[in-house]
Amino acid sequence: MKRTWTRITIAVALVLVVAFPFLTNAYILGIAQAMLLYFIYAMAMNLLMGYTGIRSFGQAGFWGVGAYVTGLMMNMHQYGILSLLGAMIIGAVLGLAVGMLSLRLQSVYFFITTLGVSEMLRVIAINWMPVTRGPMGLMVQPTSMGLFLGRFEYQTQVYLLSVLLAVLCFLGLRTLMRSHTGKILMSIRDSEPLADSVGVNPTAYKVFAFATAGAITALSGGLNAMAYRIVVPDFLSMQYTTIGLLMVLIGGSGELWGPLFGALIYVGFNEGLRSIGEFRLVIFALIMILVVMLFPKGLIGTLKQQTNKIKQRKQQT
Amino acid sequence: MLEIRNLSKSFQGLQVFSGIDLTVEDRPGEKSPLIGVIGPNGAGKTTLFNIFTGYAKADGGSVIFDGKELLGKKPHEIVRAGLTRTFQSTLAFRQLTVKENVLVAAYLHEDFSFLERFIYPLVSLKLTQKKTRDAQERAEKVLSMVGMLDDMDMVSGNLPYGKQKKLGIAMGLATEPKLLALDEPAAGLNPHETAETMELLQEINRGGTAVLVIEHNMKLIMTACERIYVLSGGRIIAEGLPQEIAKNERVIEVYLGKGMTAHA
Repeated sequence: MKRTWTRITIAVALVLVVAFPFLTNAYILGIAQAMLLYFIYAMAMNLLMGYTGIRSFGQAGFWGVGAYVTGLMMNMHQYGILSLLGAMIIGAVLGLAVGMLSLRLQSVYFFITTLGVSEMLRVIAINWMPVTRGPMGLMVQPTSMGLFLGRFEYQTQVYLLSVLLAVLCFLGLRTLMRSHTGKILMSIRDSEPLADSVGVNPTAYKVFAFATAGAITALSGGLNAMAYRIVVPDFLSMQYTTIGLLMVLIGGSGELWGPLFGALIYVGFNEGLRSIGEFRLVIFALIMILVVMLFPKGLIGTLKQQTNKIKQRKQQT
Repeated sequence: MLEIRNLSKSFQGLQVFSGIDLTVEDRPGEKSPLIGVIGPNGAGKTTLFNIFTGYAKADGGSVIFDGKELLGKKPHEIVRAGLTRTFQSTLAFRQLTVKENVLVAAYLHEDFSFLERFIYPLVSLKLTQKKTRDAQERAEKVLSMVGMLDDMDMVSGNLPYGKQKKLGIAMGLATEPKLLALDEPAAGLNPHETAETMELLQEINRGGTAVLVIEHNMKLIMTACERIYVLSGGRIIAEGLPQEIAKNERVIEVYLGKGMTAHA
């Protein structure tokens, strides 16, 4: 019964989300668009950090590469969906390459390597003027998204495609984490040497998680390029890695619904505090410190913990 | 089955041990061996385990398991060859349930293809249903054997210490090893739990799995093991039947202390 109600609630929410562009104005739709693409980004970060225990400090590299690949392909008049597929493939290949090179390293060297790669990509983006237009940024020409979406306005097309991709990513990751591979990833998070001692090849699974997260992060960066139609080298900076970390920590690391709430809260605060300009970054830093100190399990993790406590108390009485 | 020959190890110039020879015989059709390794703290017992299970490098010597050299292999490759170890302190995947812990180990023999490992799990659980169901059945069988079926849905980090230790052994068993190497399975357990562990080791051994155990609990070692190696000062100072070890003056002197006797 409870499960039926949950399904009905999710179905109604999904219908509202899909109908949203026809009920609201462009500004609000822009915020909803940001929530969707950050939700996708947070899912990738959650796969890495929350489920596999990999702390990547260079995830912005994938975000930025996804944005550039999508932007460049769209400027070559490719369908939006194909441009995103291109971004995902490049993100996965980059993830495989960086993962195979660096995931054998101890954590501190791994941090430095991932950070180094994203910085290297940022420098390339600044200096490869003929392709990226350097610090001026790459303007993205709107094209049709493909599929059945061509009949709608451009902003609505991007939004509906984002909904579709966010749902697909969520279902894919939910299936993954319920599968044998998901359990193996979580075992590596809990103890890599112990996983190794029961026959798991940790490096192979970590490279898989890193490449999958790379593809999903690039997808999210691609949607960002598509939605806001500009790509700048700053997308490859540490700031975007921090945003990913922040969303996972706020929502709940290793929680399926954590990224959704992390993205809603992050984008909500970001918009709400827009009037104070760059100072809002200080507030985000403070939120991050407070969450880590007071709610280390994040929003969903803490809610779960409290619900379990109440259930236990009821059982005892 | 396992032949360790002339094994040596040093850390930053400090010799941990040298010239270590240890054998676990392969006896097809007969009772599998249950061998004990004892020695004072710092004798290098865990280092010895770490070397032949791929967690540390040796300076010299060889470790042959079923005719193949193990030195240089990674831990998961050694498990696949049939030699599994447990740890003294890292016992379980703390955020997974008891059943999931054993399942991760039971997946080893399902031989998932590349697609089954990395592509199908993103699409549908049905695509790997048969293999995962087989693994579940084997995991439940192992949990039943160690008497933990009732705990299978508990998060392992919430288990009492004694049960976590037992879970560690269950995980080792789920890999279906030829040789199970246990690092102090009774450390920190109360007498009742120690007796249970001893019974469990004997049951595992009767089931056809060879067991090599490091332990400080002399009662367990003397009662359960058929042969014992004593490691001290970087050397094997004695090897033999429990009764012989209990009477060995050198062992009594370096390990049990002067003027002590052990109960066989």
